[in-house]
Amino acid sequence: MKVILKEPLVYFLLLSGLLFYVTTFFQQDSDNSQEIVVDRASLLSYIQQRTKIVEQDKLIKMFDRMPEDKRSDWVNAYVREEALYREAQALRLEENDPIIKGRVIQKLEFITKEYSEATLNVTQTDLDEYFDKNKQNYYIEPFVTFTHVYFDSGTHGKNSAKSLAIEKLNELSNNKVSFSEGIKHGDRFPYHVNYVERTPDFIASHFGQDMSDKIFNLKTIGDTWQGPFESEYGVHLIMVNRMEKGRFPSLTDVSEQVYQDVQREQIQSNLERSYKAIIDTYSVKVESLSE
Amino acid sequence: MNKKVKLSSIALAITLIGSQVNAGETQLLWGDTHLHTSNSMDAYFFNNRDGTPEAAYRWAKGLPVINTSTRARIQIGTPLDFLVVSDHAEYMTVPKRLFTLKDKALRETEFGKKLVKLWEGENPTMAGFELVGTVNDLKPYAPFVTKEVRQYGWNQVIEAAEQANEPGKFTAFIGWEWTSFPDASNLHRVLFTPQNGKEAAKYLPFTALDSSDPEQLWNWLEKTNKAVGSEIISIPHNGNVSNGLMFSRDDFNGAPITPGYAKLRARWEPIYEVTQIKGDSETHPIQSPNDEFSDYETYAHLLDAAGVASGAEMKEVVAEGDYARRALRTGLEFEEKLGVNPFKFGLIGATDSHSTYASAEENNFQGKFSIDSTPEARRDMPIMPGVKNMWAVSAAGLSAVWAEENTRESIYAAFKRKEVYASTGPRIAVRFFGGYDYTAQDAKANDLAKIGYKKGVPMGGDLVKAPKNTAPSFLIHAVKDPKDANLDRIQVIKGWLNADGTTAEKVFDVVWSDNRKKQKNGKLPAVGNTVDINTGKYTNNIGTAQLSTTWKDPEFNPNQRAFYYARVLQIPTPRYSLLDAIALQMDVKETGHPATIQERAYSSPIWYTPSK
Repeated sequence: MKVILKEPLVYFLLLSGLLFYVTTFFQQDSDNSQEIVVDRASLLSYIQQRTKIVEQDKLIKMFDRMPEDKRSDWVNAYVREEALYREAQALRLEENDPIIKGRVIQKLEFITKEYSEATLNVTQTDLDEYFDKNKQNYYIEPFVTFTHVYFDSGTHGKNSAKSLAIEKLNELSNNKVSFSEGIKHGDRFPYHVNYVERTPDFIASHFGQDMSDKIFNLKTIGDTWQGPFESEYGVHLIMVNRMEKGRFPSLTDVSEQVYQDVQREQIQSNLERSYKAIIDTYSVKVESLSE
Repeated sequence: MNKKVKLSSIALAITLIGSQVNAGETQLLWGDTHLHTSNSMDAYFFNNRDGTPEAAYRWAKGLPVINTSTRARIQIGTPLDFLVVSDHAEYMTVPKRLFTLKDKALRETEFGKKLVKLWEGENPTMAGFELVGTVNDLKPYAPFVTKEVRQYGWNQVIEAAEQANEPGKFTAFIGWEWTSFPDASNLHRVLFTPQNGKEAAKYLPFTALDSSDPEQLWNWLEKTNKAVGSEIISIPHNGNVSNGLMFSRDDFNGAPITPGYAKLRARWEPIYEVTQIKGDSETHPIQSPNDEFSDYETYAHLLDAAGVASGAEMKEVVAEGDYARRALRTGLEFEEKLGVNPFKFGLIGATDSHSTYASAEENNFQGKFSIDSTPEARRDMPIMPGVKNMWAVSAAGLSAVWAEENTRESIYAAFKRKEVYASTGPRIAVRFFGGYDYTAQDAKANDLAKIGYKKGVPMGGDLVKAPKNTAPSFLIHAVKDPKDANLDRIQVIKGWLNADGTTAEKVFDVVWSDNRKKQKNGKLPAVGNTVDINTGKYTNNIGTAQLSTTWKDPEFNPNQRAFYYARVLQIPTPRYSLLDAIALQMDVKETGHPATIQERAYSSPIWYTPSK
């Protein structure tokens, strides 16, 4: 029991429960259960639930401009819902209903979650420790930007595709053919001419793994044609415009993201603690489960 | 990737000397990637009891078939070149086995007995709800998801596709739909493979019951690729009913997108389904207020039965993460931030028809399901949440593909390189190339496509490193559907990333019909409207049969990331609901939908990236 009382959420829930009983107890006298009152506030909140318009002023504006017949449609819908709901309640239809049970549990979970969020406290040590433990989650993939001139080994045969490529390499280099001019040379590749900021597995999915490895191992970045390189489809000459190595960023680089992740982890562990505290207020007796 | 794309049979007009090469021609193929038969649970419950995958292929090939509700003989107007039968993987064939085939293995289970009692007794609707409910709650009934049951469904898919596939003539792909539906937000994906039945038999479709998290789906794709050499593409369902989740800035668990997420998504999802029967998701008037054509076939009713309230003002849910144009913009932001663009996709249309028949023709529309295939049913049975009648859906969605030949490998390669585009129905031919060397003369050339490929990249490609003081230019050509209406105009839609990290978009009218002059406000006057709402007829004496131009970006900034795509508009034609209204002798205004629409095609984008 001592552990439970240390858990402030349980206090909070007890208190709100008490408050609820008190208010409903005093309301009961004045509340005529056969009378449905449609006022501005309740109708607005009803419409908000239905239309999912979040901005309050937008909602009010829409409501105030609404023609009389539309407005009375809403009133009718509200009254219908309220009447049916109350009737169902009077018949105690909500009892032992798994959907309603699930829904009210969900509401309790929301409250618990909000509570867990409100009691967050992320320190620098938390950030350091978390980042250290989960470094692999922040790995930045290598990526590459390049263009290529392609010779199809299907149409030319492997050997002549290769010799065509070697010849072309001389021509491209001697004439200083630029990145954007490369497209005028070679055959049409099944996929793209230019690859922009693409990761190794994307390149592998268009060229095969070997070729992807070769490209990511290229050392010369800039206006130089390189090759020939063989892929699953043929022979390629390549000009690389940009190559970023894969790397683990420093904490400062990704502090915002790490902060959010730590927050999420804290919320989760606060939540688990809170649920456990709630369960601990009950004594549980598991009877013999076999027949 | 271990599957070698065979280009050997392609007639490449190659000259081996100098730089005369690079002129591989492509042909235009039309198809549907998203189609359900009675093997899909929901299709079955909406009265499609015997529409088989075989029938779906027969319809696509242009053969007469039977409408599964009316039992009338029906036939597609213009046949398709390819089709993916993509039945929902969850409980695939289960209702059919329970109620039509009276399969004892399923009927004599405890839940089976209960369902059969409902179905054959007084409450068949409830049987449907009960079964669907277990999927929506992700609490599948174990005997209905055994390996045997899943294998049975998958075999049907494989066999039908293998039989219908005729290389060079008609392509039948093996595929399915993954039906993730958290809180009534539609995150569905259509998946298909260029591989044959033997390869596809090495795995069973990944279902939402395995996981509703797209990242888990991509992980499965990666794992299966490594394990059995599968090659599969994943296409997100149109996003207007996703509650903002389709292109959310967060992942499925609410954490911000990481480079790892972006990498996986870019690898497995190169294409997005932008338009279909459940409406158009290019953009929305709320998101593109300056785009006078943005209010087109919007459909933002969540598929949430609980949200069906008074009906009166069930306002549409319009979220940033629902629409293609905004997602392309968000993608530029992420590319700058993460180094990888998770939303770098090409565009296609697809029907998502549940009637067995891929129908996107206004004058020959077979309905979203089977039950709504007649004008009266569409008028009287609003079976989808939030709609007043079934005219809320569009007779829309086809994929156009520029491929070397009509084979699985060739079409699939075009999807992978995004040389594909979307049409809302008409077979409008669209070429869209980007480069730095196109001249005004090129747009008039007889061999426009050849020049297009030679001097630049086709739709779906990338431009990098603009030569000094050169803005990219775009070579664009559109030809009307020979059986359909004339064209109004071609527009280029540009989106870009500003230095301050914000994004923007602009629509340019680049070429149009009838010698119209732009007004002082820069807008082009409307093309007019020839539709007679009493007869549903229109004439082609406005508009033009083809349009072509070379357009250079007048506002190019070499330091800004940008994308460009073409939108081609038809002249106004009758919406299918007008034809229904005329048949029913009712006022078209009572349908609640416009009498006429301007059908359209969206090219896949071309991206520009500044060099660092």
